[in-house]
Amino acid sequence: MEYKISAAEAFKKHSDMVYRLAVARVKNKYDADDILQEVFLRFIKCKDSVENDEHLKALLIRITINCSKSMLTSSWFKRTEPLNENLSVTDECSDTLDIVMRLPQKYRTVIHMHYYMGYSVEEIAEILKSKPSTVKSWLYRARQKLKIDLKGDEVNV
Amino acid sequence: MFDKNYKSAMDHITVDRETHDKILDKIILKEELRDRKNPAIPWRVAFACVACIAIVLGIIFVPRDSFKPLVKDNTSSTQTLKVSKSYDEIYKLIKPKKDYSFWNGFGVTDDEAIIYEEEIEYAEGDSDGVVSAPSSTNGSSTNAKPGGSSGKDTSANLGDESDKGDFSNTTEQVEGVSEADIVKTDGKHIYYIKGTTFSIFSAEGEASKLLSKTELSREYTTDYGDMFLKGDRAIILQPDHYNKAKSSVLILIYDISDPKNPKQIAQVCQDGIYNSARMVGDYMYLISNCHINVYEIDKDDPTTFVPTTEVNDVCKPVPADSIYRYEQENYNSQYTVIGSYNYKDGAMCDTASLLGGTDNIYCSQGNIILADTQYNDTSDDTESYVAEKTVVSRLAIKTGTIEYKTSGEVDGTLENQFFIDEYNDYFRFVTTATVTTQVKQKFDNSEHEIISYSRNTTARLTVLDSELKKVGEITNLAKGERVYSVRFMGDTAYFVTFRQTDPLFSADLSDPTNPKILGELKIPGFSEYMYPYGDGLLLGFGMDADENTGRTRDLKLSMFNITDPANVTEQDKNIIDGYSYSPALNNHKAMLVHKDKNLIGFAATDDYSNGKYIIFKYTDEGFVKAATLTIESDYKYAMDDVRGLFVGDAFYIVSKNALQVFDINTFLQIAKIG
Repeated sequence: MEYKISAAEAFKKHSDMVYRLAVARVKNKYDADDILQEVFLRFIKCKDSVENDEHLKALLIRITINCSKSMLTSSWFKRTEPLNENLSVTDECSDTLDIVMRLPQKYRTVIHMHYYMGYSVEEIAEILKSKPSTVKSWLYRARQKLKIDLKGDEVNV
Repeated sequence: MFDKNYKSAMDHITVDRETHDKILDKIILKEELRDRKNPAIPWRVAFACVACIAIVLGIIFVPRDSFKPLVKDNTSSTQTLKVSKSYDEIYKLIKPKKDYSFWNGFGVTDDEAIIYEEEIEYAEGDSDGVVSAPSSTNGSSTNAKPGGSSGKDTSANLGDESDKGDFSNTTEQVEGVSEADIVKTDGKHIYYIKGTTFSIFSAEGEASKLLSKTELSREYTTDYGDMFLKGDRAIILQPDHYNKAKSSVLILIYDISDPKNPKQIAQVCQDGIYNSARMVGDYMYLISNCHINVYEIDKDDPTTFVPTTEVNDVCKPVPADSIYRYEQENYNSQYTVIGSYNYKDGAMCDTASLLGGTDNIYCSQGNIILADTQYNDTSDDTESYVAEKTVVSRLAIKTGTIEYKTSGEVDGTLENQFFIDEYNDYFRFVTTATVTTQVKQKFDNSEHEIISYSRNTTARLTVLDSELKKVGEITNLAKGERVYSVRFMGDTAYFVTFRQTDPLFSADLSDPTNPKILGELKIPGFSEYMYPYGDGLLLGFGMDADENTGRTRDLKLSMFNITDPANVTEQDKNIIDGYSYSPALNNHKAMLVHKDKNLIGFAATDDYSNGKYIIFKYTDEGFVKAATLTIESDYKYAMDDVRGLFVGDAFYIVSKNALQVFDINTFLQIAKIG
């Protein structure tokens, strides 16, 4: 079966997913806005190669990660508006977000993909074109750091 | 709990309506332009013809699975890098081009938009320059000469850490090139960096004690550092140091002649995120990746768009004529910065910078190779292409001076520094290349072409000469597998690829223009790293895997007999039951391999997440487990910071909160500090 999706459709379907991953990577909404647009502009060029829904998601994740690669963590020095400022969530939730955002970028990425997007270690490795053992060790270290910061709050392994 | 909280917070993060609609409009506009540029009908007819021929050819000549390397041969093209003449020139390159600004792109005519579209295509992969970058403004800097000594090499190597004594060293790739690590020993003392504390222990077996504990500058420093030891100096690198709102690496030089009272001698900052460092002779070479915020650059202040170094509070941009760049259409706003520093006083000897990033670094005594992965942008028409390439640049180093020589390209990606090697003025690379092939099909009664893509990984070995021009290669090895580890030993290269089983290839490189595969050994599992282990033996450390499914199981040690490179055998193996993770899978410095003492040691976590330090010996009968030591650390998961080392007859395990001392023969704990 031929699978065909326009970039506009893909955007309507997956803008939140891309945006949240971008936020998890760059820690601020301004850069995430830029990345969101860039991801789908790049997607226009490779949309014909999409094979199915799963592949589409993986491709978008991959482009998002590439686009946000060089957005380095120091940008929050200039743009200090905290992520959780206008979120109508409990303190507990916003604290959790805060703590995750203090992790190094690659750890945030795997934490987000694993706990939020629900990908397994193998799937993450596949999408990131990395080795499962690398992803595993990042998750390991990220969890370990989270454990200390969350003070006993269980991180399910 | 955690995941619920995180989910709930994340669910509330959404792009605001206005931005959403704005972006959608933009996408629709671009997509229309794109589709108009590739008119549907002639395109389809043309492809229909081509496709028919292709299918016929395919049936006649090409077996279904075999892959023809239709790859465009661009491997041998050597790019020249240009030296910049002035900061103005660099400014022009870095300055964001208005056309690329997302929010200014509206209201253009179709013709202009098509030009814009094409430019975007060139800029693909370079978009870092477009999207706003992190802050890096540094307004209040003065330009001054770095203080201190010139690049004179003092040949006295007193107490050099590379001196071979009866103690273990950080596992290193190239002899004579030191690599930084969190633990070092000089045979008398053990030095350890933990976060922002620098501890010195005496290495006296039972009587070992903590001599001093120094708090390092902790301003914004979040991650742990790395360290070199040379003479009576400790050179401590603190990555993640924020200097005037820029990411930078902090270099601290300590006089450790009195271990009870180490004194800070110099403090140096180099812009960028820490990548790696090496020490050759009296000089440390620090490589960092520096990102420039293109929207906050000021033409009159080079420090806003050129990386800087700061020696004892004097800030200085890298000189314009030491900044190199590829000859290419667009530049992203990233630099690779290489600085050399004298170990004695931290005096900066030389610095150079390349526009563009760097992933992996190889350093020999005379050359630094910078390797950067780049994504080949694909045009729709190519039938088969290698998606990623590695751009390599060579810089010659000599007693502190850094001189850019040349650049070249290798298809595919490399995993770590061991994938690169220098031997007799030839540079050898093993890479994994992902080849994407277009498969066109036409169904009966249908006008439509169906184009699908098949992706296939292969391993390749490329030999470049000193000008980084390709002189020889082997392609299409190990189809469908990735390269996991590589070890070059003189004329021979050994590399392991993996998907389900672990073929160990040996390749003969004695004629650089005609590399040949000598042998292939297939065993289950894979090795992440390989270490020479005396004459004719090669030690592999990795994972065992199921032969049928490729699923990884437990840690595995392999000893390969390489006396006859054409006929490599697995002399012995040991699957370490119940242990499935070790930091030494990702970091060669976490592994202790010492042939003379016959010690193979590494930290590992068992299935119950307990940290152990496992020591093997290799005898005529094969691997013998010498000890399984319990690591006394509160941080169960923090095995990454555990190192094992020996000094004389004592074996030490350094971990987050303790120094444990063992007898090297019995492996009974004889002392514990901390």
